[in-house]
Amino acid sequence: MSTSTHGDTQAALIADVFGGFRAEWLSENIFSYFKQPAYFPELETRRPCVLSGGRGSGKTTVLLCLSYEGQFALHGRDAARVKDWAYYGIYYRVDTNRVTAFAGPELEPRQWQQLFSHYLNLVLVSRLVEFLAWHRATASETVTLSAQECRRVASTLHLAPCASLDDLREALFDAQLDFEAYLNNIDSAGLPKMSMQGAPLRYLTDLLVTKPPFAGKQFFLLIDEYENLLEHQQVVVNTLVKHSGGSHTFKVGIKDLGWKTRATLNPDQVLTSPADYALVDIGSSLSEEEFATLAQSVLNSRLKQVFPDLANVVDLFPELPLDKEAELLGVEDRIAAFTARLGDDPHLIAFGQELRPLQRFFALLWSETQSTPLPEVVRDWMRNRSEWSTRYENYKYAILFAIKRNKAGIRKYYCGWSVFVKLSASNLRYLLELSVQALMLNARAGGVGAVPFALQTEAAASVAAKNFHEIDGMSIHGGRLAKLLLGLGRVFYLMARQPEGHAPEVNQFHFGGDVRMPKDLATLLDAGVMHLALVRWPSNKLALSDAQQFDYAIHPIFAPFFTFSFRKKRKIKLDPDALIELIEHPRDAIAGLARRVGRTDEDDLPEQLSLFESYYGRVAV
Amino acid sequence: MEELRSRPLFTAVYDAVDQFAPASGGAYLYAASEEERSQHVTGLQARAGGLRYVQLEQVGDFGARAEGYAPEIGLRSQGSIGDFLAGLGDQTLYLDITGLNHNLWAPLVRMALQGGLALKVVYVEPRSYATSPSPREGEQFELSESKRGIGPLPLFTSLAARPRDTIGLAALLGFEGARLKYFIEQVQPTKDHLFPIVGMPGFRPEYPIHAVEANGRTLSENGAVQAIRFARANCPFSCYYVLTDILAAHPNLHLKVAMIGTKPHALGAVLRMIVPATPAIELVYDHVRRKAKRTSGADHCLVYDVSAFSQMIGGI
Repeated sequence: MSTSTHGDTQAALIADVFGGFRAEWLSENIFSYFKQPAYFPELETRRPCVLSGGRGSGKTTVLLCLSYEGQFALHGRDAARVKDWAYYGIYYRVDTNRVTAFAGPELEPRQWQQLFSHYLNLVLVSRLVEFLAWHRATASETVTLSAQECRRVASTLHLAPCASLDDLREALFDAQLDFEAYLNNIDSAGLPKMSMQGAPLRYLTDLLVTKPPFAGKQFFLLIDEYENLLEHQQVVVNTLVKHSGGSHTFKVGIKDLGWKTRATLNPDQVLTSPADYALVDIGSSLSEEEFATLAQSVLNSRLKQVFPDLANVVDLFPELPLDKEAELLGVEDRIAAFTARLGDDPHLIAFGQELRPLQRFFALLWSETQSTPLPEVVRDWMRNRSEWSTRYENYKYAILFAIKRNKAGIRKYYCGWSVFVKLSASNLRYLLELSVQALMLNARAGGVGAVPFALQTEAAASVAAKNFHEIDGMSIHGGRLAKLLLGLGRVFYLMARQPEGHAPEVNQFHFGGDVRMPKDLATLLDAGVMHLALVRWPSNKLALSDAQQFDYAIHPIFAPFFTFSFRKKRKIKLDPDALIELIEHPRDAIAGLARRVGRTDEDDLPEQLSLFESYYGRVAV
Repeated sequence: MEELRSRPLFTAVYDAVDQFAPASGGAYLYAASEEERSQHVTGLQARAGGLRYVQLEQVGDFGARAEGYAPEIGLRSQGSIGDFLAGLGDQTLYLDITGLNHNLWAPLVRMALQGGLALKVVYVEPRSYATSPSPREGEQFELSESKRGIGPLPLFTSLAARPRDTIGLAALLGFEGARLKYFIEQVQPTKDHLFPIVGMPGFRPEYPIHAVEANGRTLSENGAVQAIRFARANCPFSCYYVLTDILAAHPNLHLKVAMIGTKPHALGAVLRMIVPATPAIELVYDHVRRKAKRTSGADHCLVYDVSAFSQMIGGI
């Protein structure tokens, strides 16, 4: 077998064990690969929980692992142990194409809520009955519902009388068909018979916990993608959550900012934490260190199938020291004339030679931007070493972006496990993608062991590009979000490439507290945060909610795509109109913003943006 | 796959729109948009009399108004649509979908077939599509302004999929790559169950290439390039047959069909769901707001004998 063929096979194997990074695509493997996050025990308690996190943070995986299918797999597919489980989880993913049918001018909002409540009863009871059928076929100790009990369950939903579980399954399906027929012929004067909110669910789960295998147990109703519910539908489910307990409880998975309302059907009651539910915010429930440890654990367990001798995935992604990076970026070319420009003072020449190449490059940049002859700059450095040391420390990372000029190839390296962790911003899917893409590129190149710096960087750019291209599809705002990022990304790139004479590492923005924020833009910014195009945090320590009271940055995963610093450093104030202009008239707006921050929009595009030459009206090098 | 001869097409093709003249009697439903091709009806009225021309106008997402008909038509009410259609008589009903939104023509097709009307659907191809002044990969054309998001078309709500069915996504591909990404994200088809359908032959020879270019990256990332199927872009029946083949090859599939390609393909998807009634199919649509000047010119005119096709299949 040739090296490349072997590498391709290995790369395919790596891709296979990660299943496209989607919980939905891993199928049964999702359970065997599962690594319990630190917050998992909180979800296993008997109280309602809301699991909040960005796309790819692991919500679906966790909810599926709480489901009965997940528990069965995690307990070794041992039928005899099913009776020992503390809970039985029923998974339901909110389907946008269905729930959006429950709105429109034909009926009053309250009538839509009643119809939706009935639909939810049908769906959740159907899932419970499916579970009972599974339990009957799988568990060693089975549960039976008497004909009378089946009849009563059916009557809570206005179904035709049922004498058995199988009858009930069919009647539930038929009821959904009937209900579908009603929604396809809406008549405000002829509403179908509807069940009471939550009553069938309550009746069935209360009944089940009287049966021996389920006595003292609880049913978890696992609602995934809660953000897909319309506002008036969230009110319905919020109410169910508030009044759950005893025989069943709710575990809800939701994207950050996806909760449209905390209201319940009772105007005097809202859903509050911790009184009504435990909030598990994946982003803040794990420290960066805990997140990195969890990610290592996930990667190590899966990669063992490909690399049996692997000790720790961290070893595969060595860090790149700054001076080494400067060398790789070609700093020697930029400082070729350094010594010659120092004149003939031997002390100055000797001191200049003591400086490391990146320091010499910094001195040159300083000389240019301050319009000070280089010998004076170096002499000052020699005399005020402490002051210059601080100055250099502030700029040394930022000036890496300015080294490569007018040449093809990498303009900034992004490598090292800790850098990958930062780029992912504690998003598990992103970190897996970065690691796996780097390993696959290395395998295809015939490499073994640690991934070379260039390939790590290539992987980071490739993952950034892939996720950038997905933004379009994230939401109804996807197209505008992608344009916003293209504009902001270009501006921050220009600022990074031309650091001379400016504050280093400006990669965030804010609006100031007193600006009028157009509603459309506020919605777009919220969507950007929800779909991981942007990250944001309060400008001060007060808990704030208005868009203009946050600091924003492009999500760090995109830093290698646009080429700017992923580090959380400095911010600029932007006018809301400037953002709108970036979307609607990108070329003029980019040039205008660049001028405003003392840069020129002259730089060619980085290679990875070559597909956007037409968009920017610039050539990629 | 069945042989082509057992899969007849019921399409009359006119090279230019002014060659088409509907038979007298009956009614002709249409809407005028800012697209040039939708305005051919003005000429049609001058050269083909003896029909009742009725201009339709969408009202919100779920309503419509018809010229000369007072009540607002509730598009999610079979009775409301049925009353309107009943007033048009029982001769041939021409439904010109060129200027109509999916929300409006799809329920009319369903109710016309359900009511046993002799339905012919008319469609005029554009001569060209508007390109973007600052194009991005997959977005060479500028066809939509915004979208309301996924939701069922009136009279096409599906609620009753069996739990645990394999979810497939048949994507009728168009030129807007972002729309495919959006549907994949929303529908989350089971792995290896994305079925892209490209309109080939296209309205123009290069159009299939544009469709693949616009969606290529997404198809590749989802391992679906090999799964591409082809159906003539201006033929609903070809699309119908392709969807039939997909269902036949995957008996346990719940197939969601994303209507993001040509209107004739969307018509094929609508027919596949209702002729005969097929609960395993679910239509998904993102309710885009089309740009006013998204196309220019008018090219071929096609008339689909939908009722004859439906009868050949065995009826609704």
